[in-house]
Amino acid sequence: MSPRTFRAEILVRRWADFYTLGLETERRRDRQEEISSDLWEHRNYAASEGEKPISTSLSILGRWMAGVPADLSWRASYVLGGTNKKEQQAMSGAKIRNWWQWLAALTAVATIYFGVRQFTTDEVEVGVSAGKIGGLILLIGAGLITFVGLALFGKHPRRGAATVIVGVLPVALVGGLGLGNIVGLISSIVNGQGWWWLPVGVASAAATAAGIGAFSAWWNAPRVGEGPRPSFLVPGLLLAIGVLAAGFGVGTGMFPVAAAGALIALSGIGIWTRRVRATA
Amino acid sequence: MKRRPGTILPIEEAILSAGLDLRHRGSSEFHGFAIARHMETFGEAHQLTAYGTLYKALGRLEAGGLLESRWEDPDVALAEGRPRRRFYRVTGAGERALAAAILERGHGFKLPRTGLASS
Repeated sequence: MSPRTFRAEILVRRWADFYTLGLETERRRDRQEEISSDLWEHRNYAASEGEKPISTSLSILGRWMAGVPADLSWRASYVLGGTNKKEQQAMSGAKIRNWWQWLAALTAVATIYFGVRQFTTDEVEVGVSAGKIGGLILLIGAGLITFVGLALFGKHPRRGAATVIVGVLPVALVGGLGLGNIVGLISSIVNGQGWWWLPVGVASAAATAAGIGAFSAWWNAPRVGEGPRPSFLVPGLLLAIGVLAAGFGVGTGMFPVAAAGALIALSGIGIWTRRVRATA
Repeated sequence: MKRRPGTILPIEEAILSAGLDLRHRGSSEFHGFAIARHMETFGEAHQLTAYGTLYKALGRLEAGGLLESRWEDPDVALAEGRPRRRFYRVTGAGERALAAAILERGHGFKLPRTGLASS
């Protein structure tokens, strides 16, 4: 087993240990053993097919991350008891399947709001500056991309979910994918900046959760009715990098960087458009 | 997506369909990874189904009586040097639920690329 695959498997096992904590012994053991069996079968099947270890590791990580929302909702269904009736009731948990879309919409609204709000407050920086204009471009762009993704999701689940991931990424990154929220909050209070980080941290955590939900939807979306689809990975990355670079460039006054970012973003859109047309 | 009473979700339909397809191919029982791989290879999934999604759905189907499961004899697994498998089997209720789901979709339903489609 390659070290990468080993680490990916350890992560999945530890996660299973974590979310099954507190469950009755048999139920916990069943889930852990089932995951262990799946990992073993996956690894051995991949090896027999001559798959590269890096591909196997990425597949394991993708399956893990895309399943996190389902793991959590499965675990939540046992919080109040864990009876068979609860399991039956968990079937109706499908109605909250699209929770991440609401979260993404809220994130998009908050993103645009933060972009505009910086001009009406002097909490971070006084007056109008290139930094604020860069932030405005970045945040409004991210918010609009999220809305476009949500609008696309109904007819094109994979494209829509991928677009939402790109849209929520900047806000998720601001709070270090939710992990930096506590540090940011403590830092802002200690430095006498008050609680300004709190709404930013909450928005970042919401964006991260929405991004994980969108990733899960992207991973699990079926192929039905869409035929061969172009990959959104490369154009999506170009779009995300371009928007980030453009915002950063304008914000820091490095206009060549901003221009390069805009070009990268446009090239991402261009590549995606060509791929969609080619498969239409 | 809200579930109407008496209906099954697409992931559950895919699992039942793949389970029956495996049965037609001679495997009356299947384990988690086998069904994920089958859905990726012959079904509508474009990747191996996520752990959480797969095992949550399998649990729901079993709780609903559409699947039955049993754990493999530990000695068999030990002899082969691997973790023991949990085997699932589609029940009669599962077959009826799948047939009802396909009927309900009517002529607009696009059958997955499994043996079930041609049967």
